[in-house]
Amino acid sequence: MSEFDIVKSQFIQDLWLPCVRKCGDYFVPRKRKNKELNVFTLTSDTNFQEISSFIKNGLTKQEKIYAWTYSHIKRMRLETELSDVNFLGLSKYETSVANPNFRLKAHFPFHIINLDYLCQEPRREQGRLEKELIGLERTISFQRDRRSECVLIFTTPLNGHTMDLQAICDESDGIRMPHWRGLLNDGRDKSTPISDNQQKITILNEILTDFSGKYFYSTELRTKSIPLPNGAIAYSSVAILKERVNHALN
Amino acid sequence: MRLTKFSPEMREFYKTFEKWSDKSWSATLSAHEKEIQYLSKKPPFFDFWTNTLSDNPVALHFFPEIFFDSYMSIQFASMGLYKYAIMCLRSELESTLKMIYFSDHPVEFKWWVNGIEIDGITSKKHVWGDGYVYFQNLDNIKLFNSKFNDKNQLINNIKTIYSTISKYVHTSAKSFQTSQSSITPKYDIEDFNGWKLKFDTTQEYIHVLLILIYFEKFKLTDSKDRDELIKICVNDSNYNSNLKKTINDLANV
Repeated sequence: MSEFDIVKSQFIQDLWLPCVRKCGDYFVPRKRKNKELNVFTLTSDTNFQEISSFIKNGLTKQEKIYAWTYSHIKRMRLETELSDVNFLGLSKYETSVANPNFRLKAHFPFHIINLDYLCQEPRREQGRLEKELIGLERTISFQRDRRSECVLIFTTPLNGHTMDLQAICDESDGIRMPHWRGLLNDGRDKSTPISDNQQKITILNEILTDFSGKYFYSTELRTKSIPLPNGAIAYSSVAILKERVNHALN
Repeated sequence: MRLTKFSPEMREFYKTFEKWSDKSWSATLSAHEKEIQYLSKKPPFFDFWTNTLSDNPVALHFFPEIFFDSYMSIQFASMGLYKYAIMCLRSELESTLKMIYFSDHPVEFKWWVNGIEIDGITSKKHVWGDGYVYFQNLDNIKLFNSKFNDKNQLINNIKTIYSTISKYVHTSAKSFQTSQSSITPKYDIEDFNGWKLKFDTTQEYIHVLLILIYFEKFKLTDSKDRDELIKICVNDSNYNSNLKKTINDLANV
């Protein structure tokens, strides 16, 4: 088992599955088993245990799952292993999600959205995290377009590269919403890149909460971090996005 | 695979295939493991292109097919199916040329996708028109060609390889899979080396074309990825150095 397999396994057991189960009961209260939740997941050809786990727990079935991977060879292997899952993507999700002809958009909404960038073998490069967050915001906006609640899982490695808060806010604020006054709009200094991983985690939590608010969701956020070699951290959060009551009433 | 549930005829049919393909794979890997390992690094570069051109619907339509032809060419060659391995290369090259043409011709692309043939446009021998005039007049190809003594080097090279590998599609006598002495596919060093040369050359021309045609997107990609692609896929020293010169020229425009 590789270090990522162990990390993924821990995230599934300790964080993802308990939250997804709870929400499964909320989304489909009348069915104890065979809930048939719509799932979108960024997955790996060598480790798709989240799919097996969701199916085993009666939350979904292969036909209700849309899975994304970034490589032709990986997709071939996944299609062979999971013949009834719907596969999309042959490029990086965070790049594709911004395109006007993004094919997955037609398949929203989902009950479970698993943006596990860790399993997409991310290049540990400057600017990666910023792109992933913009991908996350666009995903929430597609879900919002269909006025649907969901469980949103976001997982990424945090390493020595700095986090450019200004770039994230500029990009996010470029996606306008009528009531929205801006991401992390509390007068803080955004110009200093963030290098401390613990500080990154705090800010990631704030960003996720802010994104939810921007798209009229209230959120319940749970997180877990696991140390990786070389001082890096695997960060995962589960946001339960629920329709904000005052917005729903409007 | 559990064969017992199938009829004896089907079991024999499958076992025959399994035997010769396994024998050929084994012989190919014993003689060329490192080469196969190196060659198999090339098809995944279509992931790079799919990512780079992810906003181009024509590219997204073609790249899985282009990738698969390239990937299967290695698989077929490793099984001793040299004719089919080369047929894949012809399909890969033709798809790439079509993709480049259709990327700038969305109306014709739509017709082609819907199976509509228009005399003189989509039903010509090639959708891009007679010869390779269309490609030869594209600015970045002209710039690249200007670095060679032959001022139409890339296009002439593509013409030559296209015509060579087309012989395997059009069944010329020297491109048969079988011979008078043997009909079973098997590893053959001469055939392997002949295929390998064609494989390398085809990948090289395809990636050079893509870099030149989509340079504006290419230059925005990660420099490590760009360097890796050129290092692995553009092996001819003249091509490699002239491509780098062209990239420098284009970057300074």
